[in-house]
Amino acid sequence: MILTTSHLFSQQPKMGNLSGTVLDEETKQPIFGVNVIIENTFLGTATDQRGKFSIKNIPTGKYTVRFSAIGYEIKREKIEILPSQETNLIVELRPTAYTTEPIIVTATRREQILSEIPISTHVVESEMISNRNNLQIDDILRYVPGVNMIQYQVNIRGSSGYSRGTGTRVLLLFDGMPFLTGDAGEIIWEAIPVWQIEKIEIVKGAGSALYGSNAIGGVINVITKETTQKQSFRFRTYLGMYDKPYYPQWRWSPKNRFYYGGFASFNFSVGNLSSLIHIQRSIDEGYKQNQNYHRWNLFTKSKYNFSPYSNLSFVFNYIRQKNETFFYWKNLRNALRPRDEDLGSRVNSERFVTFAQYKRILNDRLFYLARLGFFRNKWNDNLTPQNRSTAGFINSEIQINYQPNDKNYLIFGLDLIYNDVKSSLFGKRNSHSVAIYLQDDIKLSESFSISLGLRNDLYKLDSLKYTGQINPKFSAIYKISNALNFRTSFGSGFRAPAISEAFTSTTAAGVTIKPNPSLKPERAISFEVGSRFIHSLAMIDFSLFWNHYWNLIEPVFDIDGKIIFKNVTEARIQGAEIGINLFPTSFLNFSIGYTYLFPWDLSEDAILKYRPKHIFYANTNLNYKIFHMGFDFRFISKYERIDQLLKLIVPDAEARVPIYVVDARLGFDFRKLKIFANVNNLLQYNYVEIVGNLAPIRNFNLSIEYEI
Amino acid sequence: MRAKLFIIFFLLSFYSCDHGLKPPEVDTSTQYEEPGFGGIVYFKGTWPDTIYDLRVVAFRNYPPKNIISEVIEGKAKFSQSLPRRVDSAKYEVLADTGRWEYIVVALQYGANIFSDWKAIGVYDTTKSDTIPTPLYIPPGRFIRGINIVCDFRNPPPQPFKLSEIIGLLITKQIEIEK
Repeated sequence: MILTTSHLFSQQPKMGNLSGTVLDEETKQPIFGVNVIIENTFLGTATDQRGKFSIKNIPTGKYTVRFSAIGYEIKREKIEILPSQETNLIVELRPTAYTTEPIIVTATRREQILSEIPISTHVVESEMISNRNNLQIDDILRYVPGVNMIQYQVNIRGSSGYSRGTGTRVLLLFDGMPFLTGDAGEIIWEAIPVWQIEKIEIVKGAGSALYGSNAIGGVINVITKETTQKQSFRFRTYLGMYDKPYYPQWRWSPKNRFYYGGFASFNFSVGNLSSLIHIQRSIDEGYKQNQNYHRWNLFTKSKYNFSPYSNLSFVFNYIRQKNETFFYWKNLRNALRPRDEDLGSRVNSERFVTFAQYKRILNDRLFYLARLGFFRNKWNDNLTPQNRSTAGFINSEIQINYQPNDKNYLIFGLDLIYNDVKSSLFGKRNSHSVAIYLQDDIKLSESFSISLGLRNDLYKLDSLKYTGQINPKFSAIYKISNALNFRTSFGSGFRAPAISEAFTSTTAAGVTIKPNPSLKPERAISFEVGSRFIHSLAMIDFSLFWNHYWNLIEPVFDIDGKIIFKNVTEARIQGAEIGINLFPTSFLNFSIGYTYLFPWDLSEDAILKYRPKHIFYANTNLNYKIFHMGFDFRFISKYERIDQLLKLIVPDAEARVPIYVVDARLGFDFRKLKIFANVNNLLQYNYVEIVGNLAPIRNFNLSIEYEI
Repeated sequence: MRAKLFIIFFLLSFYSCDHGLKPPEVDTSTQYEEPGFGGIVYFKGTWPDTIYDLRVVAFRNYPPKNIISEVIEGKAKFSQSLPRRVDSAKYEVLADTGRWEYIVVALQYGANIFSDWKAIGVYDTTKSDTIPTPLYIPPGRFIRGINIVCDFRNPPPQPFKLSEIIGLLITKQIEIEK
């Protein structure tokens, strides 16, 4: 590094500038797109095509500057900013064959690189989302080791099974804000603007010690792209077509079925305010009868920098959708047709989430952030009588990060939730909760760190009594060397019953569901040991896990023949997981992930319903100059057991097979112009994730993205 | 290592070529009747004011040992809805080959499909006792002439609560028929 300081011009007193160039250490060529961040401030930029960067108006003082780029090792440089001077750096980054370790914020509520995280965590980067042309994030999660989707219900290491959309056992965060509907406690995957995602962090195992209810099986945090000072316009359009069903008996439409849409986004800045506006249109004619949707998404994000040490972010995310509903097939002979009585049924929905977050760095050892958010979920169907529901979910949280010395890192937080529901199904209900949490990361030596945490939740569901939940956690990580570490973690989790589970009262198609306000929360503990090996040619992550669940809530028949949600199941899920990433050359990589699950229902002494024993993923990527291609393969063993209720309702409910799916992709990257071609379910394999619902048949799509 | 990965990938991909689920095959080469039975139900007396549904239902065992599991396992079968306020009605039940011990005419008198049922007639050809007459269906045979008399003034004994039995059965069967 060459460091020069020059008196370029006089400006505000006690302010200075930083500029420089970033080069490839081997080729000495400039590197485009390097992130340049001044640590412990909000100041940062990225290099241009000549490898140059510039950050102006930096308060005088000593700083550490971090340089990071895909394909290069992270580098940190110490600098001093002097009044009215420009500090100039020339930095060289060393290329690395393997992908740079991502920085994680979800596992411990603070920024740590992946190899420092003591819990099994997986990250999906935006580039892979873009290359696969995934239209919803549930499609992305189908390729995460240890995760499987049962239609719209996410399972992390077998945590959830299938509960008809109510009460997910995985907490979804949207830029840190809880993103579950207030009435059914479900995840609305299509509400997330998939092309504005920076990364998705998936933390496995019970996480209620940091995140409270619903984090009983894990946490998924969707982090959207940051706004930038640079003005830009992005545009993407896609057109897809479903192939004909493999068996002529399943053809229900003489016409080809298409899906299409696109988005436009605009990033701009005015003074200290930078904003992003994203608008998206999606239409799917459906490969099944009565399954189409028409959707509008609007996403805006703004950030105002009061100073290099404090900023205010504001997010508004809106979705409006009209979709037909395909509940179950008519039978296996008519696998793409719904039951006759479901023909014409549809749902209109309008949802938005908005939140403001203020972050202030008080000094290099103390910062806090405060957030206030609101999620409104409104829907109605066209049944007679009509079902309708409106839920308002308010969340407020303050988090303080304090590092009193080099050995301790403390995090303290207060979390408040209020939820109000008006529904034809659940009545007029409300719930609220208050929680405090504390975590101390202790660095016992250079190679050994532990983390202790505790959270106390106090919540009230409508007219019922207050219920308290205390959830502890412990984790440790020991570094044998820079390449190899061992970790262990223990944590507990809980899930408060959703309003829909406790208060649903309805009769439809002769089936009566009655309320059960005496439901207790579900509880879990999880234990894990693991190891991670990082080498220039390979990354290997191995873990053994053990999870025990109590009071799992399931719908059952009561003695009067009505359906009721009850705490009926105690379960244990044990298993092992291995993930291997190989980087034999700079342009080729392979990765595989295998998870073995032994999911046992202790209440019935049988295998747990809707859990596979084996989950396997493999993918390969080839990137050469402007050209890239890849294959994804996933295998999920057949669910050995499903619930008797669905057997009664769904014809041919036993028609299930193991899942073998291959997706292929091809693309060209001309920097501003990108072209992607994808084939999903290349081998036209017919399978179900949930009984009576054939998963998407082979489909082709082409998408084009252009950025100005 | 790379070669092994390719082999694993190839083998797993190869398995995908079986295309997974497929529609059930219909064998048209063999001429035989769909197994089952049918006949006429005769009605006597005054019809009740409210009737939600009316069907002929067949059970494998009498009395059924485990009603729910019989229903779940598809051991019980039933007819289409019968016409109401008539003197008689034809019916057919597609039932598997084998012995059926209890054939009953079931009436849904309330809105709840899982609870509001009662028996109004039983297939019983012996007057000396109240035990229903069993029926054997040979392979590939449809038995005709299984006639049942329903007398609203003198309903048969209710051997068990029909609540969840019939309701669950109908929910399942309707889907299969469609």
